[in-house]
Amino acid sequence: MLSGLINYPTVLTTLGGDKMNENADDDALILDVRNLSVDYIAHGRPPAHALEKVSFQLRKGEMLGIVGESGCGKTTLMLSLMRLLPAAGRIVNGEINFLGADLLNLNEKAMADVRWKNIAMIFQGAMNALNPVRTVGSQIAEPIARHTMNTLNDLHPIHNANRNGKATQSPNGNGHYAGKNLNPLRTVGSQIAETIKHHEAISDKGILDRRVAELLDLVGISPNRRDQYPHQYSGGMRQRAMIAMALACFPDVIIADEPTTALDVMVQAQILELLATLRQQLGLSVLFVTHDLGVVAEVCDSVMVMYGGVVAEYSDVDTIYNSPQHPYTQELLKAFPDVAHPHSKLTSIPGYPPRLDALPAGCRFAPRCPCAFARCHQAPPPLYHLGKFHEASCYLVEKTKVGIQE
Amino acid sequence: MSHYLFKKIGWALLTVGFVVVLNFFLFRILPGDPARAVKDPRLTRQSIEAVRVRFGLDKPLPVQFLLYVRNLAQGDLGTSFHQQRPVATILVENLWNTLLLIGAGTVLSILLGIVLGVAAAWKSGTIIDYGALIGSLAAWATPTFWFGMILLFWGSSQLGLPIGGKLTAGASYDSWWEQWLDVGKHMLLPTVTYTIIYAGQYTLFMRSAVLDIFAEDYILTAKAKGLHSFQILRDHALRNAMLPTVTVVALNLGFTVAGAIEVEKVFSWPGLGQTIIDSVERQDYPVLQGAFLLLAISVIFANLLADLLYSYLDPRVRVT
Ligand SMILES: Nc1ncnc2c1ncn2[C@@H]1O[C@H](COP(=O)(O)OP(=O)(O)OP(=O)(O)O)[C@@H](O)[C@H]1O
Ligand code: SF4
Ligand SMILES: [Mg+2]
Repeated sequence: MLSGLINYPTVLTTLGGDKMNENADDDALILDVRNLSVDYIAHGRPPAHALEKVSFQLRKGEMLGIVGESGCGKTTLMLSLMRLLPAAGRIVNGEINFLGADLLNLNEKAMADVRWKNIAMIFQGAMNALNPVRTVGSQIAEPIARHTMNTLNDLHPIHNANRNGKATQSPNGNGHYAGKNLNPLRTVGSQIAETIKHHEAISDKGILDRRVAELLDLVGISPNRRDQYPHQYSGGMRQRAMIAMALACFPDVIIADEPTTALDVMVQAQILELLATLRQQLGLSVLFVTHDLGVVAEVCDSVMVMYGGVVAEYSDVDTIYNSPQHPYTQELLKAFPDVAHPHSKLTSIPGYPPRLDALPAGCRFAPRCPCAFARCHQAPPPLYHLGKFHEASCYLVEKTKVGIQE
Repeated sequence: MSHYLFKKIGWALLTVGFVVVLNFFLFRILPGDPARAVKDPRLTRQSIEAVRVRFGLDKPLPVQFLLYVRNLAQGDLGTSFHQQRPVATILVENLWNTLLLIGAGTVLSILLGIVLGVAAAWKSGTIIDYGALIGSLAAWATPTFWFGMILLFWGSSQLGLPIGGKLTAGASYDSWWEQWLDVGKHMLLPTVTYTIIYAGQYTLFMRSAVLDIFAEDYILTAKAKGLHSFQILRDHALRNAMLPTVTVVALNLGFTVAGAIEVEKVFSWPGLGQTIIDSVERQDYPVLQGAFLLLAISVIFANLLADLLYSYLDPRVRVT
């Protein structure tokens, strides 16, 4: 079980800590996304504004639900965070402050180090997200082997000495590391290597195997199935394996993009329960993308409702359910009145989301909004702050606002 | 695994049996009396009849068929009308030469095709990609005999390579490796012709297979894991992209024996293709019958090989 896992310090040494922001004193703040805008560029057509000025924060241990109709940009947002947008996607504006540094400023190599090590992702369709010709176990082991040695190198200056070539000197010739505890007859390097092997050498096959077994056990899969292939797993097991994989490197943030969509209802419930349990146990910070407001109510702390690439309303779960201010949120809840039957689809709002390459001049929701008035068709509403943690982008709340997002 | 194996081998054997039967009747319904193919104007009617008797052509069909099957089981494919030698001996001689040529050509073209195809896909949209694409389309579209003749002309005039055959006529060799050097010189041009023509096809195939794989979700997963692009290529794309390629290569393998005909003709390479052409001209039915059987069986076994390789590469096939 979990206590058996070798815990690695999840310090992000690849990132500079120089970039301070107003929330820097907030220790629990992990992710602070600001004014993120993404376009999809197509040849000979106007760019599609898939995200416009999206801002949100994620704190340690928080589970943030991101809801909205199909095509509102949820996956685009998640992929932007990992900087894995498809070729046509461009991040045109914004910041992704992660543990105090902007991910958008990292070079590709540093970003590759952040992926999975710091931000891991559970994909929607586990069948397709797993490679069919490799065993599940090897795919879980892969990110561990990829990232853990890096972390060791970065975290342990001693280990760096190994790379600098000094490690072949004997302790006496290397005053810095000399000490009673070192065997003077053997090189520093060999002794360090031994130590690492003893405690944390994840490249060591046996330890790697044990980690994989523990991870599988953690998500309720018998470890002796690790040498099986994805097609030998049921849909639910594949999704569990995805979760085990996401946990492999003790990420600071886990992104779950509709992790239960492709599953049947019973299995959905099991996977949700697993996620909720793991989150409690491990104190995970999760971005949880879903269509399903009922699920959000069950498992999330806060909710960001998106519409057509913008934030419609953003607050804690209670506020969103008990006093929604944005007409879109209200319509969603109406279309979905009973939290006890959380599996109906969000289809009953008449009309369709806007085309992203031909957006309405005003509020993106105006063509479908039951409360729309003249002004809504002229200019898009800004995001109004309604309280310490409640934001909505609708002219109707202008009178009750306490501030405006820049 | 073993169940799958047995099933595949069983089917292959069954197909061979079917081909054996078909091959017999195919050659009985073809026009032209084989006996007359033994061209000699001095032959009298009696001697023609004697030839028919000698080759067993006077007996009723069912008896001929039984004899054919019995002889086949003993490795006897009959006697060549023209050369008066056992067909099996002729075929084995020629098959060896053909295998030498297409063996070298196939291995080289597969290697070249995989390397170029993967490089093109990996650097897709760059000059490398366009170069590989245009080059392989050109190679694919080029008629084999035309390309062979250009190479033959250029190679013999500029590089002093032999213009055909397998060995220099009348040459004597001090050692076996001198002889092999001579064979190598003769083989060079036909092998290059063969390699380039087929590599084009394999390059295109490998390129599109890798590009397809790059669009798969599990490649996104691999990127999300922070793997480097070479790691992704090696650990997640290559094996998967080999799957469709293996099928094409193995299917080709059967047909390449026949496909070598053009190359052999241009370079006068004493192989199976050359023999088939000669036998058609001389209506040498026993040789043709034997050659057809050999080709059919090689196609069947290439298929079997593809299936087995596929099941090794793709675990989803292994279990079913
Ligand atoms: N590669 C792409 N090129 C162009 N447009 C794209 C691309 N990928 C997504 N889009 C567009 O961006 C918008 C947002 O898509 P996204 O996949 O982020 O939506 P989503 O909220 O995740 O939807 P779903 O709930 O169906 O998964 C959609 O309108 C989509 O058409
Ligand atoms: S701004 Fe106008 S159109 Fe937009 S949600 Fe508010 S009321 Fe509706
Ligand atoms: Mg999506």
